[in-house]
Amino acid sequence: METILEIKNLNKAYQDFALKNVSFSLPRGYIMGFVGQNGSGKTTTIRAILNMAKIDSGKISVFGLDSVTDTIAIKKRLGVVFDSLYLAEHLNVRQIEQQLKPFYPDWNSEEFFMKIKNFNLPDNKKIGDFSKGMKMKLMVAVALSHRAELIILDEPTSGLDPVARDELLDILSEYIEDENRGVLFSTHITADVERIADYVTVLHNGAVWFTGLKDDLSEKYAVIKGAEEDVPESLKEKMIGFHAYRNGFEALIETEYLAGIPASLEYEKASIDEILIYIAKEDKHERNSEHHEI
Amino acid sequence: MKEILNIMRFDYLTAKPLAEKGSLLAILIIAALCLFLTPIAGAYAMFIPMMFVIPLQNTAEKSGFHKLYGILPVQRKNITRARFLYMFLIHFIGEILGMLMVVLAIVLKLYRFLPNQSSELMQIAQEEFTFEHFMPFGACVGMFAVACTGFSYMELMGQIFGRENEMKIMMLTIGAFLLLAFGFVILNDHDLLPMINLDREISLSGKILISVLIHFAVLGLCILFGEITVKKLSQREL
Repeated sequence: METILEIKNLNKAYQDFALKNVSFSLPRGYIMGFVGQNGSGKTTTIRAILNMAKIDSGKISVFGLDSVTDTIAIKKRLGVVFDSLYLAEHLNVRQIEQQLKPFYPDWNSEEFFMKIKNFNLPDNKKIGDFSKGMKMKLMVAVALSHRAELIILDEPTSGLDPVARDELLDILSEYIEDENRGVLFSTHITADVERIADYVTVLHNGAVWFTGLKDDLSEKYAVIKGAEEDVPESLKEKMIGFHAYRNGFEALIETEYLAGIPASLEYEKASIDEILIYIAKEDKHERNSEHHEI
Repeated sequence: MKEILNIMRFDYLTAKPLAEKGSLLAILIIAALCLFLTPIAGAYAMFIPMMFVIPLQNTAEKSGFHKLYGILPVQRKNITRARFLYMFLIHFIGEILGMLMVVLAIVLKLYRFLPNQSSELMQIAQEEFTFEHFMPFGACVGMFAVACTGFSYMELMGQIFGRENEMKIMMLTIGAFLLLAFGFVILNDHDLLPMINLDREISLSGKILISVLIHFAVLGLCILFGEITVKKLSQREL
């Protein structure tokens, strides 16, 4: 499968945060959900892809081109949607079109205005007066009007009402019908990923915790619960985010360790949301342990 | 070069809706003053470019243009260079506009239709409304040089040290300028400065040559300020 985006051993350190050996790839024709807690490094990774952040080491390839040396060629074929509007708010849609058109050789005005019409956006109203959902649709229309082969969305659905979220996801699903395209969208609303993503990359504390097919992720992990005394010590060590309650415990576990567990323990497939929660719990537990050691 | 032109066009289209009404009104007022009262008022046309520069800086900050600059297929250094060339061009257009008003004022001599033609004020006006009088053109060039250099300097400082510090920088700059002027006056009072004869009559071609040189100097300053900003900003992330 030809990859549209490939990141290899990306490292980027700030004073209080670092991306550590981030590696993942997205094949053409698929949508990748890029999930993680706030501050896990999603936006930094996206900024590195866009060459907005200088990387310390590693390599990012988009369309097989280097993200640093070929950044202009890449950006001509790339559409980006941020969580907030990046266009002049006192302008209307027509004026925005006039502004952006010269930058993209493949810009198609007819397509742009068709999208604007389809998205029910007024073309004579100041875009600053648009609702959040309308602003999001405008950014998507811009991305689609220069025939972007890859769309990167950074938290596009945060702050959107359910109807606007649903519309945006429909637009992305329609966009990916062309197999030469790709979508990378970061979010912490995992329901969106469950709905449209084919691949998932889970980022935790600046490192990739999982990357692969969404179905593999849900096959790989389960939530296990039961009475704490029924859990063998060897199994406990393999549990992620183990949390004991008054009446029992809950934890995340890789499904490969489920064979031979006591019958008194129950388990069910883990959702992405649950996976994120247990990773966070595990982290907290580790911190507590460290604290105790000190 | 195409990238720079595209960004200049982008900047112009950003400022235009905010500036067009105000600038139209300013043109009407300045034109009325220039055509009827004194051609030197044409130099006030340099207030018009300000209307196309100030909203641009505010909008870039408010609308999060740093994100857009990260998305557009344009080299970052060309975005900065374009801003300084835009400053030069927009001020140059303002200057041309001012000069056109001066020429029109001299050609049309509309002051003739004003009442009290025999008054002392009108006698002075008559002299000003001649092509022999270089002062209005010189004022346009002077205003252009001061406004363009001043705004480019503020752009340089604003981009390097942040817009929030702009007022502080402006005060410091004015303070430094006043200090220099004060020092100059003191030195001059004590005859410590070499004597320069400024009373020497300069020919019209000499004046035109000086004006052309001023334009090149201002363009050079804009390019220099642009390159300094490019160098400083290249270390930073968007």
